[in-house]
Amino acid sequence: MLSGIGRKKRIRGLLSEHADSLITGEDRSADILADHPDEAPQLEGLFKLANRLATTATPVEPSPDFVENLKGKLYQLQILENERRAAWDSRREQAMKVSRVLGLIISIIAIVALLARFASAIIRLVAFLTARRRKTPATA
Amino acid sequence: MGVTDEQTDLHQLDERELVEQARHDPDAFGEIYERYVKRIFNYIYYRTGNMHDAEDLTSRVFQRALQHIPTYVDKGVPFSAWLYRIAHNLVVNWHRDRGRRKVVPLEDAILHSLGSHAPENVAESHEEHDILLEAIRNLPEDRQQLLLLKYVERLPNAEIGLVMKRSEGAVKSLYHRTLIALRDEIERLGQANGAGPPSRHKPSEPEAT
Repeated sequence: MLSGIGRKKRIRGLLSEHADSLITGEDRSADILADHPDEAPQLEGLFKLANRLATTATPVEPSPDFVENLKGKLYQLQILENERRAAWDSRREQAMKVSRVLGLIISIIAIVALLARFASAIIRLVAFLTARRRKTPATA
Repeated sequence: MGVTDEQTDLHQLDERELVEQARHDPDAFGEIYERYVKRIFNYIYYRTGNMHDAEDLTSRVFQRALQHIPTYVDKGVPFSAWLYRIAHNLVVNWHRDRGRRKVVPLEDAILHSLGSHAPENVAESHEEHDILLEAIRNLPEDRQQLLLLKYVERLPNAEIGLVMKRSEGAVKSLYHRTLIALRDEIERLGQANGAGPPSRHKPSEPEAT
């Protein structure tokens, strides 16, 4: 004798099995009820309800025009999106090249400026030392 | 227009390869579209109840998928689960925007499916179907979604679980509770309409939360 939980689990399994048989076009209500007479009182009504659902909820065909039109629209949209993405990637690549060149130029300017300052400092030092040497009188 | 070799190749690709290619290839995305458009349309149709909104939302699902597929991350679940999630979110927003929580009656689908029946049976069937549909409409969204994925999309529990982000066991449990709730709702509606409840014994099954 199954416990409450076990019995509930079995009933759920049988309902699921029945539903799966219905969606494949086969009604196994009689077989399942015959194999599980203890559960018949609970299952019978639910099986009938499931049968009604299976006959009521039939697939509906969309309009062929709608299907075809939407397909064409999506095709065009993706082409446009691909073009937009390619244009964006191209612009981004160009921007990166420009920024790399600018970066190089700025770096060169900075190095030149640094060298200029260094050279200027050396020239001032040499000038200072030279001037100082001229001012100091020669010792006899 | 005949099928080219390239199109034949796309038909033969498995889902993972196809999704990878669809990130940049319109033909590959078109193949994905063809594989799933009817399923997504059906799902949305049953949750909105009319063709116009179903077409509109289906368009938006695939446009959104197209927009985000370049960044789609394969987490080992079917691609359809991602599409169903997009569809579900759009339908939820649709309901919220319209101030409605319920599914509109599916008159079109019912009339279509009853087209071959004799007139005298149609009236009786209409009433039963109306009650069934109204009962489904009164269910919480997750239970409506489960019934649609199971009976309209005909998905196995494992795939339903991936769409609804639940385990297979949780899906079975939810299905059981959904049927009970649906049965109770049909009985309630039948009593409200004065038809009286169907004569059956309802087992004292406490509903799990």
